[in-house]
Amino acid sequence: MNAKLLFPALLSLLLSACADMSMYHQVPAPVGQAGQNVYTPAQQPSTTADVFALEPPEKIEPFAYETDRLTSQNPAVIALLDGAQKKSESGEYGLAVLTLERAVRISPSDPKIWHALAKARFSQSQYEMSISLAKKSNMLAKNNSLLQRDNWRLIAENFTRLGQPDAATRAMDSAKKLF
Amino acid sequence: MAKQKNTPRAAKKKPLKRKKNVSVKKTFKGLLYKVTGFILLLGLAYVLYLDNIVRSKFEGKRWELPAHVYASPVEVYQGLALSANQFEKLLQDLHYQQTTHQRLTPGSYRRSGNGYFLRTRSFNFFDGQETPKTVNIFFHAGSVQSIKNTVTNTLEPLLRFEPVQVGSFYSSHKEDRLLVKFNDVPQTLIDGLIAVEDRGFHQHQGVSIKSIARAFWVNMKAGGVVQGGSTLTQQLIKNFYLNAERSLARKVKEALMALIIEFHYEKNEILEAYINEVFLGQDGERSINGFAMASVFYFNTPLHDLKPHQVALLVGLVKGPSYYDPRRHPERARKRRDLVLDEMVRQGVLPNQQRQIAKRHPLGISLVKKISHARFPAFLDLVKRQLSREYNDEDLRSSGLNIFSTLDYRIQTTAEHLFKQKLTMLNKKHGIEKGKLQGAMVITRRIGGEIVAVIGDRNPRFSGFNRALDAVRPIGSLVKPAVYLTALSQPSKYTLTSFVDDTSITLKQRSGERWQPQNYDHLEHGQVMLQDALVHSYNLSAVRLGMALKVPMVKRTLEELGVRREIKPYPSLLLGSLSMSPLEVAQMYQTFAGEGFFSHLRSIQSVSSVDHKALQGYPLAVQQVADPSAVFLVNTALQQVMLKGTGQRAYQHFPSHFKLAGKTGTTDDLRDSWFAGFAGDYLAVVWLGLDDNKPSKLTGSNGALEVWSSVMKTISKEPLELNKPNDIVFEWVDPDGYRANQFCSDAVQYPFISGSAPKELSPCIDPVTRTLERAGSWFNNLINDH
Repeated sequence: MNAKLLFPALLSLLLSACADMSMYHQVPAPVGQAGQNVYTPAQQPSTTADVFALEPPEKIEPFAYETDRLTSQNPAVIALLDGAQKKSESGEYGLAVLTLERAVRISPSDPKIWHALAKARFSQSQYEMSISLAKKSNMLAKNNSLLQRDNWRLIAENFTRLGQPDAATRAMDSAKKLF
Repeated sequence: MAKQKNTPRAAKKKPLKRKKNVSVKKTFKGLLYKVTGFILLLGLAYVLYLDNIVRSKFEGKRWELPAHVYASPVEVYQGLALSANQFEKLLQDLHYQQTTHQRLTPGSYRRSGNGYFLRTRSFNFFDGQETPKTVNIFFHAGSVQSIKNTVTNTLEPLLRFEPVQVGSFYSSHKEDRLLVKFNDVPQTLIDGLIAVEDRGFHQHQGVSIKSIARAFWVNMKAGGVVQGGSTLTQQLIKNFYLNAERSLARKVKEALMALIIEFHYEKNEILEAYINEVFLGQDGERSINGFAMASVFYFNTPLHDLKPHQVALLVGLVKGPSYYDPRRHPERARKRRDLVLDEMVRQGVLPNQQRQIAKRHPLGISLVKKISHARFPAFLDLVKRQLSREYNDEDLRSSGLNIFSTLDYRIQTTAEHLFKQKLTMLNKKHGIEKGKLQGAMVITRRIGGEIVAVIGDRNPRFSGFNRALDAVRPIGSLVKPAVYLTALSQPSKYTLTSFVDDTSITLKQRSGERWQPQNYDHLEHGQVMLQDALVHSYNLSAVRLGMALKVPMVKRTLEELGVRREIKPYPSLLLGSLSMSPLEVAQMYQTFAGEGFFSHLRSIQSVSSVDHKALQGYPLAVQQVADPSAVFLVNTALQQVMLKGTGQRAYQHFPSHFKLAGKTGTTDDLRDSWFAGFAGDYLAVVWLGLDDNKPSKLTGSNGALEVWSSVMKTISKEPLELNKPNDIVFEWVDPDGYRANQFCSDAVQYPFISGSAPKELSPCIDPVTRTLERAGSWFNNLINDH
């Protein structure tokens, strides 16, 4: 071997031998791939990365709820909920979700926003995500049994769409207890 | 064609002069035809070749546009906790200019006491454009009282400001430009450019003989090159297609290509390309190209908002961006600007009156020019890694993407400042070799998991090894909440008041070696309540508890919490032999902070294309991964850690009503100092240590927690209010674990998952109360059963 190449070769051997001892050569954090493979939207549109160019979901009849219970006290949140509602009506669910997220940043513990997010996901046919969001809304809606009831009804509807009638019945029972 | 005519004529002349040899003459004639034909063919091929170059580049992707990364925009709304002074700081971050003018231009404001009168700038967001608004904002008692639109005379529910640009991803040549369409270019700019650079632009076909002759004459007189004869078209060709070489051959090529481009394209298309191409300044390694970018670079204003004096300055820069640099040579730049204004008047494209007004203006150069692409290197590194799942490196650097990140500009800059300060202090205080103490920090929103700040080095602006992502270190006691969550998820077996054994234990490792863990104080504490074991971070009880639960169960809990790294289910896992990066620790603690709901940590909100079309969103997603009731129990214990245990130093900085939750972590021989914890609004993780893995002499409590407290006390505004699940009840328990009541002197209230509270009554309860208590619980059971 050429003498000029020998030194770097030896050095790299030496360095690779040290690899385990130094923090510079460890396996880095799996950035953003926790859970499902979230950053490949084409494959998994139901998780973190959404593609807005997706085909609109099948037409779903609007889920009945009384809008007055979705009205927050904060005018900024009301404006954003309204904006999200308009975007949902025109089928731009992805944008609606991002608008609702602006509301979450303003008022993160507002269960009404989480309920609206759950509804937007339902409209996107992302039923499992919708269930999780409705559950989160329920956790935050401590003293709002009407909203809790709406959440359970939404969860039941999601389970029905997922083809899990037993879970849907249980969720509906929880809703009925709150009537 | 002319050559074809000439050649035979030239050939005909030969027989008149020499009649020696006819055959030689014929051969010579034939050869001449062939050579001429060959040259012509070669010329034609060359023209076709140039034609191909001109068209393919002009019609293809003309420029490599860097991606721009923006911080999360600030939204101001009624009721927001923000003082009038803090708001002014925000305006300064956004480079709004204070003015005394009656009429406000976008990006300017007037302040009077607690009131502001301002005009916002427009900005293309992912979900649409924010148009400029003129508003009055009033502040009262440290919060926003009202936002009134002075044009519509209505209240604005919220005002979204344009985001601070925090970085860019450039291609190797580092050209920065913003594209502008011809119709959006101000007419004064077009007029000024033509007046100064190429008066005959609309008449010539790419090359102007008149200009060349004039330049030749001027240069002859001056005895050197003082004027160029290039048209705007030639300048475009030179910059867009050719290199800086100065030779006759290149000049011919340039002229040919200029003719070709004029043949194929409209004047407006050529001018638009020129306006976007031209080099107008240098900012370190970054080159400023095109008038739209130059407008932002020099005036911090969109191109369409420029006034004539500003347009004239930019036009003047074309001749020599470095020589006329208005920041370095303001006087030279002013003279050049005035010259341009004069020329514009002479050409009749600017009224004299406007020239007078324009000349009275100072240069008006914005103080800020740096939109450094490496301002927050650790955060940008994270953004890039997350984006690399959808975009290859080339697209990322050349497609002009707009990346809306989750970074909170104010929190990131505040955290950097305090982090640096604390590390220097700790480095000195603990006698560590100067500059050796390293660290990293990750801050997220407690709800939703957006990453608001990342620091990867003791010098946060240094773009090197990113410890927040790549320093993978044993987490020590940070693992313990996962052990206790595993236990508390079995309420029939474990509660916060269950007793665990904190006595010596010896375990045989797979290698056959014996492992005998010890407490930090090298003492055994006997029977301790589960909560106390966590509060004081006892090792022996954690190992005994974990062994009883079985290590693979703890491993499963860690995975459910969000750890995606391979976990080896050895007993040493129970004391945190598992190595993780600060970012991964933040992900794990996010599930505690999210009260049992897992959310991916996110550094990006959305991505839009160069023409502002929505491409990708990275929306909030949650998934319930742990029983919220069991997590509630762990979180209340983590609050006790801060009040009575290893985290109590934090309350030297915080008022006690903040109800902070957190956990310290220290590894063998004080090599790693960790702290992970959260308030109502933010979660933060800090790691401190040395790069060579030698002992840093810091514990989690006297190292990382110091940094954590210093940053969190500044950024956090909300106490932690845990949401009590419906099946959680609070009961009084005495130190021996018996059910007590509020009248028992040593009794403490603990949360329990319904039905799991101790039933046996404490001796402190007197017989009468005892009977009543029993009756009460019988009655309660009766109600619950029906």
